[in-house]
Amino acid sequence: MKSLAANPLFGFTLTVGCFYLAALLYSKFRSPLANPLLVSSIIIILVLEQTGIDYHDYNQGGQILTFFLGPATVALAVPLYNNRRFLRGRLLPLLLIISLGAFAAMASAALTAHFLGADRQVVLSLIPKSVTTPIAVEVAAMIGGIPELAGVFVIITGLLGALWGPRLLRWCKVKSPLAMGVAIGTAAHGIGTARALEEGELPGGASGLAMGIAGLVTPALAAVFLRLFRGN
Amino acid sequence: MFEVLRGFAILSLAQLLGEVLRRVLGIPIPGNVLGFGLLAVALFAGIIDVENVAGAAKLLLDHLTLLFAPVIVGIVLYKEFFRTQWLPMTSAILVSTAITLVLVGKLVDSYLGGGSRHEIPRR
Repeated sequence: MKSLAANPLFGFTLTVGCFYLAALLYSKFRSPLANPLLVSSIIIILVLEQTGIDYHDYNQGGQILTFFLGPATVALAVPLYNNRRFLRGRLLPLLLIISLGAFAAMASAALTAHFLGADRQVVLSLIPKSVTTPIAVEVAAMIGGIPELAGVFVIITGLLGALWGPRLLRWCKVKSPLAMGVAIGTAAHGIGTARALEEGELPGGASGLAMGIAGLVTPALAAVFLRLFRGN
Repeated sequence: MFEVLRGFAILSLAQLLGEVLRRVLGIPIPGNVLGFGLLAVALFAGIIDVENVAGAAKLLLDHLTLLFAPVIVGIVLYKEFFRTQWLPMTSAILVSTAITLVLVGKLVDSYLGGGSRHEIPRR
């Protein structure tokens, strides 16, 4: 039994199988709380805990899927390119605003957690929470955070932005579809972008674009942070 | 023929070049992010036609959430953090998400107008 669990086939089958079932469930209920990633992760965790199978054994198969996050990150250049019309004539101001937003996301998360007494590792894992998971995981590893924690923070942020983003923005009298899209893409990456697409093609496209730019800017900003903190 | 294969070759080559670039320049930006930047430049500069990568990109991005699952399951190794620090964690995410949304939304609204008044022309 032990040796079978350590076979990559076990972790791979468990993950793809559970995700498939969770996706079926989501297609029935369509609630953000039935998010297939959330549901399948919980099922897999329960299976591992009930059977006592070690995470490292499970991950023999899991890491096959994780590997493809690399080319998937590269592939994000395609939606960025497809949404290029939103850039026309406003490249510089959009770059500035999204960079400022990415910086605000990183700094406000780190400061809030720090002052509420979170551990250094947790604070560092929170810094990249607004960018898409494959980038956030790498950034967290780079600055000394915990990639797995960062991955969870990214998902929670995305769900929050998707659930409350449009409502919060309307409440603050942000009404233009472009502003809504860019804000959601900067704050809540792909999960937010999926929600913005439901508001229309314009906010959806703008959100995808903002998510791409934030994904490029955030590692650079994190690298600067790293320099500054290593300096003293 | 072989569009998906060609796309995968281009995507992984871009990531490989990103890793090389990271090592050569010694910059602390992940190789996959540099690969993303390289591919974006190649697409915008017209060096690579988007059709060459569109199929593979769609296949990967359609299943993006599945690829995260093993990473998320990895939190079983860090359960203690959630038990002891759920308050700073959730507060940080709430505060930061709200600030970012409102800041960016307000800035775009005031400086760029928005799609409703002068609609962006289609491609």
